[in-house]
Order: sequence, then C-alpha cells, then structure tokens
Amino acid sequence: MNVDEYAIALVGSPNSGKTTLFNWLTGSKFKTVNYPGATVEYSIGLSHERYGERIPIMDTPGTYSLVPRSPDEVIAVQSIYAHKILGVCPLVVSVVDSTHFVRHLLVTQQLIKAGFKVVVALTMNDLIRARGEKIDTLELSGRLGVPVVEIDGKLGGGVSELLGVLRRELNLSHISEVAKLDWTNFDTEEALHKASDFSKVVFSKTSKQMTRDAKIETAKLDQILLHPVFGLVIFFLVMSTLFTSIFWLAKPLMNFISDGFAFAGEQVLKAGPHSLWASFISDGILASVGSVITFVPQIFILFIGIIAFEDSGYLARAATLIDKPFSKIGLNGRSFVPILSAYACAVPAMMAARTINSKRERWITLFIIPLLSCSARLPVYSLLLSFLFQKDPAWKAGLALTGIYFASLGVSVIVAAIVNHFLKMEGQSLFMLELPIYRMPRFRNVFHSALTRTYSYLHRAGPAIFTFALIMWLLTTFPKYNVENKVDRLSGSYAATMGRAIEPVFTPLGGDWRTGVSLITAFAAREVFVSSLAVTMGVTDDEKSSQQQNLLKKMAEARNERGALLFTTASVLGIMLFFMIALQCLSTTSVATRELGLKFAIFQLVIFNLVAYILAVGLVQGLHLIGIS
Amino acid sequence: MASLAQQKTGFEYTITALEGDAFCVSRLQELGFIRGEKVLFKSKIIFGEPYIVEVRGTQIALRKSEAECIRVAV
Repeated sequence: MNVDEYAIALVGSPNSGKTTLFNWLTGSKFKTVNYPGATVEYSIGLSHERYGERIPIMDTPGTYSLVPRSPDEVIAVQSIYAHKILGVCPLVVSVVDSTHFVRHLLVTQQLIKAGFKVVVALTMNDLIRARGEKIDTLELSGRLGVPVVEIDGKLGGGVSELLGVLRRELNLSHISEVAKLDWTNFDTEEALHKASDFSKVVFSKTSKQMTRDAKIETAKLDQILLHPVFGLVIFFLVMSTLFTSIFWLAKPLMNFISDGFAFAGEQVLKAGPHSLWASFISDGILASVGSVITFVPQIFILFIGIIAFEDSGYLARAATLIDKPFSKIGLNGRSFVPILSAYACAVPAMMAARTINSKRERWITLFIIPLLSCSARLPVYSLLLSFLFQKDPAWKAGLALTGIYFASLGVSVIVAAIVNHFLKMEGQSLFMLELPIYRMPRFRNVFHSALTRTYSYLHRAGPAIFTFALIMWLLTTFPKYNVENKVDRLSGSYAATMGRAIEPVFTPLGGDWRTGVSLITAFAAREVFVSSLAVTMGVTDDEKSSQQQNLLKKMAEARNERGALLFTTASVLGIMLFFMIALQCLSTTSVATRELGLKFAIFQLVIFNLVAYILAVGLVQGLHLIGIS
Repeated sequence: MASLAQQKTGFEYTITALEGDAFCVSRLQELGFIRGEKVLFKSKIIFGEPYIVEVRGTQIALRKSEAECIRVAV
C-alpha cells in the first residue's frame, strides 16, 4: 500500500473527535505527510502496525457541511473530491459525535448522497454510556446502508474493528461514483428530520444509572467562565499564563539550542581554521539550521497550550468573549488564536486564520499579524534594551520589554481599525461558534497534535529561513573569503558593498553601513541582526566576558566616519521602533503569498517597511530636535 | 414575526422560520436551527453580544445579526 496512491479520509464536524481517532489509528509513531506548496493543510499517516496491514489515513479539517463556507472547509471538501495527488477518495470515514448525533449525521448523509463509499465511526460513546444510554449500531447501519463502528476515544476500543471494516470495504473493489452534491436548505432540513427519526430508534436507555451528565457539568462551568466579571478575569489570567509560559518555559531550551549550535560552529572553525569549508559548515549551514531550530521549543509550547485549550473546549469560550471588541476593528472572535500565535511566530499564525470564513476579516487578521511581537524580535530587543539600561537595575529593562509587547498590541489594534475603515472589500461576517462541552484534554492527543503542527511549521518556514540565511552567508563571506580577519572579510564583502551603497538611507536613522548591513541580514530572520552586528562591530571571543558584554562595549564605542557616536539613545530607540513595525521576515511574506496572494504579500511587505522607516526616522530626528542625541 | 434577538434570555422558543442572508441561514440550519425546533436563549455575553443559545443540546454563540435570522413564536 502506498501513501501516494490513495488515503482513507476522516471527515466530520469540528469537535467530532476526528483528530483523536486519527491519532488512535496512526499511533504515536506516526508518519505524517504534509503536501508542501499547496494551500492545503491536512495530515496523512499510515495506520499503526499493531492493527495489522497498514493503510494510509488522511485527517481533514472539520466541516459542518459538504457545502463549504470557509477556507478550511474548502480544504476538507477538496481533499475528498479532488485531491491534487490522490484524486477522488475511495473510502470516507464519517466521524459522528454520538452526543451530537442528529447534527453530525448531516455530513454523513451528504457523503452518501454524493456517492462516496462511507463507513460511520461513532465517537464520544463514553459520554452516552455515562448518561445511561446505548446505541444500536446494527440498526443504524441497516437504516443508513453503510457500516457503523463505535469508537472509544479514551481507551482506543473499536479502532481495530474499524480498520478491519475499512480493509474489507476497500477489497470490495466497487468503484464509488462520486457526483457533485446538489444540496439545498430544504435538503438540510429533511436530513436533520431523518436523523432525528433515526435517533429515536437507535438510542435506548440502559439499566445503568446516569453516572454523570457532561452537559450539566459544562453548564455549571460556563456560569463561571462566561460570567461578566469572573469570566473576563479568568480569561486574562489564563491568557497571560499561556503567554508568559511561551517565553519562560521555552527560554532555557532556546538558549540551550542556540548555544549548542554556536559551540558546534566554533568546534568546526577550530578544526579547520583557514578553510572555506569550515566557514561554510559553521557560519553557513550550522548557523542557518540553528536559526530555524531555535524557535521550535517556543512554537511547540505554544501549540501545546493552544491545542490543550482547544480540546478542553475553553478556546471557543475565549473566542466568544473577545468577539464583540474584535468586531469593532474588523476582526472576528476567530481571529483570537491567530493573534495569540503571532506572538510566537507569524507563520503558524497566518495558517491558523483559515477558520475565519469572512474574506474581509481574514484579510485584516493576516494584515496585522506581522505587527505583533514575534519571538524573533526578542533577542534584538533584549540587546538594545541592555544597551539603553546598561547602568540601571535589570527590572527596568524588563518593564520596558513588557511595554514593547503592549505597544505592539496597541499598534496592531490601531492598524486594524484604520484598515477596517478604508478597506473596500465585501465579506459576509459570521461568528456562529459551537461551544463544545468541557472535556479534560488527553496529554497523548495534545502532544501528538502539537508535534504534527510543529513539523508542519518546520516544513513551511524552515526551507525559507534556511535559504535566506545561506544567501546571507554568501554575501557576507565573498569575495574576500580567504582573508583571515573577520572584520576585514566582512567590510570587503558584497554585503558591505551593498550596505555602503544604501548608507544614505540609514544616516537619518543615526546609523552607518554596519547598522545597514545588520538590518538587511535581519531579513533572513530578525534575530540575525544581533549576530550580524557582532560581526560588523568586530566582536572577538574573549574568555573573560560574554559575547553580549563585548558587543555592548563595542556598540558604546562605535563611531561613524564623521566621528559621531553610532549608538545613542535616539538611534537605538529608532532601531527598536523600526523592528516593531517593519516586516523583516521573508518567510512571513512567502506564507502570506500562499494564503492571500502575491499582491497582498507585496503590499504588506512594502507598506510595513516604508512606514517603519518613516516613523523611525521621524522619532530619531524628533528626539534630536528636543535635544536628546 | 419576532426574531430571537428581540427575546428575553432564560426562556425557550420554537423556531418558526429562518429568514435573511442566505449564507447565514444555511449555516444556521447546518448547526441544527430548523423549523419546529426548540431553542433556549441562555444568556448574553458581557459586551451584550454574542448570545449563548442552545439547540438540540448543543450550545452555540451567535451574534445579534445572526440571531435576527431566527424567527420564533412568542
């Protein structure tokens, strides 16, 4: 069986337990195939060995209907009708949450009507049993005319049986004749009535007492979590906890990784001090890979947090709480997750915006995402703030950093409001969000999904960051690659030539070619600014003090050709303002192109960099005017 | 006919029709809001919107404009 030939698709409403089932089917040693390039986002994995002969399974985004209404639903429908590589799906598993039987059976009926070969998987049966009820699967199977299997999402019961049924159905090699679905509102009404009639027959009371009713528990929790006062307080507490954990939990790991790569690079350089190969491996390959991998812990932790909240049912409440204020600036409650993610990285944030069905709201969300303070800016801010607060206690710099984060949120809100005012784009805005019952997230599931999404992020952003980092290595190394002194090599490089050519651009900012080159190299990844500055400033390894201290010392001494200090309060503030607004991230632009087209991406790239430059120059010159150098 | 948006919270209403924007109506139906179905208007969020309603045992958050598409018998 080959993953490139076909895959059995799991299709179902959001919150139907589809991804949990996918994780059970494929096991923890999953092999995920993500198709790069296309605007699709779904995973394909082989079923686990323990269930016998392995078959390819595809997880699709949740959809309420085969008539799609948002970009992620379009992806779900396309993936079974006309997959780019796999074509028409030979067999579809319709995932139905038993606690929402009537509504979820709508997609099942649409699939059957469209002519797909369907197997129904009933999930959340533990909740039905806890309610003191059971489902007659044979009866349901008879009425629908397709096989029905019960799945226990908690213990994995029924998964083996489901795979048995799938294999059997695949071998009955009658090719399904799939037609475009002709479906009206009247059909929806009829299908729901039909499902309602079915439910009266297939559901029955057991002799068991009701042990717990998840619905009542949910209602009790909602009284607190959606409460006008407590609800908001908890919302801010939960979000700030998640937010701070992105930074404080990830920081040691990120430092460990970047130190590790730096150490490996040094060793390579020591092994071959004069060789171009050593430089290529150390400053080229290792540094580029390092700049990609460094962000993985943070993005992984963010995903863990988001998926855990999603699975628990809280994320839907958070989106509901924020919808009204967001709608005032042309956003949607669904913009909440993308905006939260953007604090780690704009790339997964832009992909998360696919759940927004209004084109207009999605446009504005994607537009402001690069303004939120992503983690790549952190090393830059931390360097510049240490410079500004060199003689002050550490908490001052910390406070200033918090200020920057709030300021970035403020700027995004203002920009969204401005865009909302001027954007001439129609877009039916819907919120209509299902609030699922609260469930304890399962660690295994959360971990597995976070891993899949992190992999997908690496797959998308990795090659771009890596490529640009390599180009930067070429530009900073050649043509004087055989000059031993790092500073001389750099000052004679193509990058320096470019830096000098555009130096007039950076003079109003209070910079010279060295700041210019560092700002240009930051387009590979923003944090590269710090290492570039270290190179252009001629920081050498000194056993006594750390590299950052050396860099700070060099920065304090650096003067331009006219003898004026290069890094002053005004120029450092100017650079920080530039970093806050500028879109110096070509990976973001490449994802924006994929999501909303080249025109949008170029517009975003040009406008943010232009505005950032104008504001930064304005700030520096303004500060000079009032006597701050 | 009155829309759900005009009703008081804490009561149950019977849906008599869905009217308005086609896009909105279709999605409401897919979520289970169909003629004859009972809908419980549970509460409003602190900012006045969205509304929390329950249909067929499912809780759904609706904006005012969306609740206006749902016609109910008073």
